[in-house]
Amino acid sequence: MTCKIVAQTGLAAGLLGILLVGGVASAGDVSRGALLASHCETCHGMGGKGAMPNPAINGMDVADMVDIMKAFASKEESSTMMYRHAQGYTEEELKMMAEYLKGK
Amino acid sequence: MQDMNRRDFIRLLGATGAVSGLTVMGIPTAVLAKASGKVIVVGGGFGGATCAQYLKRWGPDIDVTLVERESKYVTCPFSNEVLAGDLPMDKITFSYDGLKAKGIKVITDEVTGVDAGSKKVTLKGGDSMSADMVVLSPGIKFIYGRVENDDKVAESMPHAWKAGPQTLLLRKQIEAMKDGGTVLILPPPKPFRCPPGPYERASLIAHYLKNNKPKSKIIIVDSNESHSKQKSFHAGWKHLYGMGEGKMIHWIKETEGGKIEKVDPSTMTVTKEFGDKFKGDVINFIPYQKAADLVHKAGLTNKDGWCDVHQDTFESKVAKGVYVLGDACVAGAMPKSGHSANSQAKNCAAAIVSKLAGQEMPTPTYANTCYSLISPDFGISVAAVYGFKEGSIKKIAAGVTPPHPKEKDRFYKNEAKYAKGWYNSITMDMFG
Repeated sequence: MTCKIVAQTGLAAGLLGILLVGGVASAGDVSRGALLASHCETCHGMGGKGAMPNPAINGMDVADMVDIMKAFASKEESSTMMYRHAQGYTEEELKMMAEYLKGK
Repeated sequence: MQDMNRRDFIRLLGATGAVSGLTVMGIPTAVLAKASGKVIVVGGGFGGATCAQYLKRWGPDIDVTLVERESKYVTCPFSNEVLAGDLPMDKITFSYDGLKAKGIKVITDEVTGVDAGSKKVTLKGGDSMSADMVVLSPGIKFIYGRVENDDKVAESMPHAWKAGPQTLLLRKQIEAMKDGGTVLILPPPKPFRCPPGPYERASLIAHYLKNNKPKSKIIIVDSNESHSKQKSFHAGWKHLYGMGEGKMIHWIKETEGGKIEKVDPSTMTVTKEFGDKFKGDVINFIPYQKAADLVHKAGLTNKDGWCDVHQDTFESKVAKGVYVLGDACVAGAMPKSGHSANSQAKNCAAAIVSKLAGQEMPTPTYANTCYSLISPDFGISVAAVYGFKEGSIKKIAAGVTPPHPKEKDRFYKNEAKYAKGWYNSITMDMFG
């Protein structure tokens, strides 16, 4: 019985894996990272790809993005606008945004 | 495997924690947790166009229909640049082709009625349609009768508060004004669409006058005691144009003479409560505002004329499955700006897509960025990030551009540059 359940669970997980890897399971899904990053996209272009003269922010290393946002928030790095936005997010939220934008 | 029926299979999937909101109607549908259903979005502005885009982006299988009265949309942001002669109208006019290309059905018609119970939308052309959910982003309507003659002055004292022909009419009047003339700007009492708008308007008209009709003056006869980005606007005016009685921009707050009582198009005068009278060669009378007629007729407004919504999802507090966005709704600490509507639309789309997929919506998060140009090369802004706490939208962080000269001139120049970047980006978000 135990073996049967394990086998069944493995099968189900395998099927799910196929569906997830295929990307189909993302249809109808909105992650916290996607919602957070959508607010970045308002000024920095679709997928964070930039809207001149506002710079592209996609594809950045996650740690680098979190680091620069924290530096904006503390005003260690100067900015006109970004310090006001950066102060509104936790490190965890910044990481979720950065992870989403890294893949764009 | 042959011992495992469909129910067992679904139960096992649930046990993996990977899928929520399963139905037993069929394995593929359940496993995919797809968001499907029909959503009608009414109004193709900053709230509606954004919501339609993000519904399709996050829920590609959702049947999304956008109904908008006009075939093209003219943005209120940057319409003050058109007024001042710095931009042509076509640069702030957008088609809905980008939405159509993404599979969003776009219907050009006026919605005459919404049945909140059955989610049925009736069009002026006579057709009607129903959906699982209806999103309303109808904007504002003007309220007349608060000021004597206020319903008779749309041509003689254009509001230009809905961008389009009114913008061009006011531009024509400013261009025709003699050097040494007076422009009166009359902002309505709060709350109104785009709180910094009248003051940016004064700034950019001043920029035009300084270069073309330098003996002219602008008087802002305000119906409020204070205004958005006040210190930063006033510092910019002093720096660039001169501010105060006899200077190019003179701001008169509500308590100096009381409310505006009468506008008279035959003498081009404005009379305040305690008798002060102002004469203008050009008068920009911006009427009192409430949520658009459509939501009034649908029974969705509160006693003040705005729509109460659950501020995480934007679902109406009085009609399930009906959502209200943008200027028409009450959104906690958020101002009635285009960026606010865009931000609200993304949360609303996330809520609907999640609901249709049988999932919980991600924690809401909202932002507002609002630039104002004091001249084409001198910008200021207000920005804020908001969260959902104890049932309403509350500010987490916020800030206004420090008044000139607290920052170097380069700072204000960069703000003006980034304002243009903001506009390019947000219009791409809506119409791209």
